Amino acid sequence: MRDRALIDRVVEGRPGAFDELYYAYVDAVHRKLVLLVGRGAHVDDLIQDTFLAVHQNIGRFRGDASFRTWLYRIVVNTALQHLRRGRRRSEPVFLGDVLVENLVGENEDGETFAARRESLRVLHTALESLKPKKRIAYLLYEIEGYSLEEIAELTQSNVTTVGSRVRSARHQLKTTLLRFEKRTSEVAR
Amino acid sequence: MTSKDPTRCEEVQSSLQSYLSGEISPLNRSRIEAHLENCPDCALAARMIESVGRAVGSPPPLSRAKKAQLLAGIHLRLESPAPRWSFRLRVALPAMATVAAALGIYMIVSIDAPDPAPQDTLARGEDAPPPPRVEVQPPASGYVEQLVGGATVYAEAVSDLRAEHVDGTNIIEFSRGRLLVNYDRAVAERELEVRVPGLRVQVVGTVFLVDATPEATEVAVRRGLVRVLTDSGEEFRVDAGHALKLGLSPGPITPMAPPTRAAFDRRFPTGHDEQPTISTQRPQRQRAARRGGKDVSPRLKPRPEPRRAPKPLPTDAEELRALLAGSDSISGERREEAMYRLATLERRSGNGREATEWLRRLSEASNSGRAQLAQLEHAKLLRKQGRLPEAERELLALRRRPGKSLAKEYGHFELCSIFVERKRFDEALECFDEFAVSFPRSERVDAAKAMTVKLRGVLSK
Repeated sequence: MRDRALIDRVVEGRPGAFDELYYAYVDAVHRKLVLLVGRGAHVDDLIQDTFLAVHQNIGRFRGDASFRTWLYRIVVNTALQHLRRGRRRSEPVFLGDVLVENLVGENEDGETFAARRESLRVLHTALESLKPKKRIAYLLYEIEGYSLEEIAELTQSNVTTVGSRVRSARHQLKTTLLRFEKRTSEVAR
Repeated sequence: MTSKDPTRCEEVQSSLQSYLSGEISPLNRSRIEAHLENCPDCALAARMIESVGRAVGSPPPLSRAKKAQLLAGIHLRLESPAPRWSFRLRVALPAMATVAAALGIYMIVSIDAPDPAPQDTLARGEDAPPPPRVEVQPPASGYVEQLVGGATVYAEAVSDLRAEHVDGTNIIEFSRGRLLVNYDRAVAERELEVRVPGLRVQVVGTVFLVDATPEATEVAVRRGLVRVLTDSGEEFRVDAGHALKLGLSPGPITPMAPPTRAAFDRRFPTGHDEQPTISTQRPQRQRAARRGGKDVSPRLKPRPEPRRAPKPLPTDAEELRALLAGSDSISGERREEAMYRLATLERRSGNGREATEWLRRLSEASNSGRAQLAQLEHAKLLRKQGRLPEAERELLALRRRPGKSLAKEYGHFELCSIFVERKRFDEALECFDEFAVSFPRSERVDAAKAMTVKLRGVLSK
């Protein structure tokens, strides 16, 4: 297996092996971290933290699971630590970002732009208000399409717990979204 | 995720991810769609997943340079674990202090970015205001301003200032003077490094402050990680919540609280009396050209006087009416704002007719967002008053306006609803169809699609 051979070379400390591993997975790690903690400068630090953890722990990788799963477990842990530290609130994912620009029409003016931002902000706030483990379980399940078993493995929890986290997050977001829609329709009338 | 026969809510909700990403068989798709039409709970769940998925989105890929830079950072951290700076600082202190004293460096560098929102702000839920952004006020006078990459540079009596792009990094270099750099990492295209003789300040994290005077140099970090390098090869890392101070003689290193806005303002007072002479000659431009490097030295020009904030509009309907009656007293955007405010006040007081009239006037004033919004509200008021043909006319006019906007999106949906209300189902079908095509990212797109299905059913009968 290509990964196995590469990992062995990394463990042996062969020159360039770690760089090769880094380049093979950095995009996947980046995508996953952005999904879990949002965009912002902190993602750079988290990518580095993740690969530092990979470097420090790769000797313990036994190969029971695939390397990708093992790596994602580190990513999830890194994201969890970050969210727990409360740093997730440092840079809102959806504000002032490329995404908002994409959502705004060509000729939209400041007011409309602000309205869009408001709805995205509400969504962002609702996601942010979820507890870290709940948020991670929800995003992996609903957005990434992971199974409860896979999430349980990544977060080292049991399947029932993950299921209840997903349900609870779903309920929480649903309530927020409904409240916002109701408020918007009241304002519009 | 596997797709089961989605006949019940639980099963449908577990298949929504596949459904929304299009990875589902046509048969299951039609079953899910049929279920969503009749189940508001599942429809809401689908809307929620779609909205969250869209909001999270896919990040733009990392550039090669960025990947290389991150890898270099990893190697750096692997090779030289964070030093115990208090110890190392004692060693390097005399060298740095000597350099500062000898050159008389007087520098302030501030790297700023959105500040973390307080924990309780977001915990309050959707009504919480957006996280506060730390604004560094530019100095009132005596400084020149220029953008360098994503950074705004304010320079006071700086000699030999030069800015260059080198290997994806903006380097600002100067030998003497005072410099304020406001660097927003969220928009900056490049990394930033500030160099003074004997010292380099690199941005690793996002928010830090360096205050170098002939007496002392202080580095305080609000967030992230900052690397301070000396020419003698010493390196210091200061992370969030820590600060260090270098004096002229070695002394105890006291961790300090990160700088507050007030502390920052004290160090960098605005509106002072000093009027330094600014050199507008840039010999460095020629030097950079000779070296073949790209010169992006700031074009030094006096900073314009700050604009005076406009007087706030009155909040009383009478005053607003009087203000709007005077033809020259108010114009443009402020006039539109006053009209909108007056319409809102009239509506709140129950004067629907007056409100309608102001909204109509405003909607005819321009094609601004506020005018479009007024047209939408005007149409809604007319509909509420049972004046459906007039409401329809307004909404058709709104639809014909150029560009896309939220008001147009809402207006389009409103128009379709009026068609339904007036039992013009074929036009309603066409209208909802068009809505789904024109506003595929709208929160109401699912409702529009559901309506097209229902209307087709009605029309086929």
